[in-house]
Amino acid sequence: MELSDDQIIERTLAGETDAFSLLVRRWERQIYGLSLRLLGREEEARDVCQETFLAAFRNLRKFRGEAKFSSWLYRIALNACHSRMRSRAGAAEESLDAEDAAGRRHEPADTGAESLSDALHREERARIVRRALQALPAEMRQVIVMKEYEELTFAEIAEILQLPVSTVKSRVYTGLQQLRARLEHLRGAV
Amino acid sequence: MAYLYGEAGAAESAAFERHLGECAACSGELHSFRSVRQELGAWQVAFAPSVKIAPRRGGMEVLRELLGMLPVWAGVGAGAAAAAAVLLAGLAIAGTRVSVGRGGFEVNFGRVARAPVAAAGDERLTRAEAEALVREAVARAQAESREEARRQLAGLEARLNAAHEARLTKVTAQLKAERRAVLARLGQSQPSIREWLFAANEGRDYLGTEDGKSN
Repeated sequence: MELSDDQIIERTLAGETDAFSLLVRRWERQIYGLSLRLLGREEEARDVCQETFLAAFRNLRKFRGEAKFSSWLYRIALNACHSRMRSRAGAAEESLDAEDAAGRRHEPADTGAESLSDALHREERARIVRRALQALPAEMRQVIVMKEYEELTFAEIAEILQLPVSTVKSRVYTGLQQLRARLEHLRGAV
Repeated sequence: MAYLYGEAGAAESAAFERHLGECAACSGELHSFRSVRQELGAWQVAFAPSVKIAPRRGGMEVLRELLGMLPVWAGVGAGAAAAAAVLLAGLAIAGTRVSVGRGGFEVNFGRVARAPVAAAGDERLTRAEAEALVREAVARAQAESREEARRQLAGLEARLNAAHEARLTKVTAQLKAERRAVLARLGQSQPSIREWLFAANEGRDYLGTEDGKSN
């Protein structure tokens, strides 16, 4: 039977520090995905992941179990992302443009089962989505990412952000509206 | 929003669907939001997590590896080797760290894992698999350590070269200054080469003075 997060935490705190690897393996994909989609840069996303798990490990005794471990972990990751976004001081747009100009992509194209033109088309669509998301205000981007990519419920997002569910729904709604406009604009530009 | 994301209850969904039949604006917005959601799916993140056990090496092991590189370091002196040893030993005794790369996270707890945690049956490692993992991790850690030592060496060499260059420049400048002084003195006394040689044979300096001072 697979151990629950709480059971793994208990073991880690009891001295089996290696048990923490199970939590890392279980949640690293989500934390990395969240960080990458919020920050838009692989290197920063990897750094945030590292900081998140390290902070979680060091502060594990402070985790009271009142919220889910994943919520706590997401909160740590979001704080780390916000800290990086603040330090950028609004330079995200320029850096993404530079990244695009250099031809860099966040995910390798899997061209195994599709033609080159299909792969390029998919890459282009991904690039447009990435740019549209990055252009959203951070408070909307984070709820959209958590809802669309992490597939969290409104209640879970509300718990992580410590906001009322109605506020989360409102931000998702406004975020979708803005995304719709930005996607149309970017598609038109292409 | 709850309906769009499938979080509405049965009654709420039924009521909203009735409304959609009567409201073209809401129906249109729902359709456009679904299109946006579909489009968002185009950005998929490729990430293949794989936790690796990387046992931390002891200080002596790190020191032995460093000493194995001494022929390379010998030219730059024992001080550099000692500094590098301190640095690597510091790294070896540093606290737990979590690192992440393209292959996933790597958690270093400072020692080889004890018994694997009883996870799902398919996740339990056999002894051979665990040993293979440990061997792989040790090899990787050693390679990283060598690379770090190479970087340290390159930096040290650059610093030494710069210091050497600076000293060379200084000595050259001193020699030039002395040469200029000598030429100036020669301009005053103009002794012949024969006189310089004679003076040298008598144990005097090449200016023909007893104490090396010009007249």
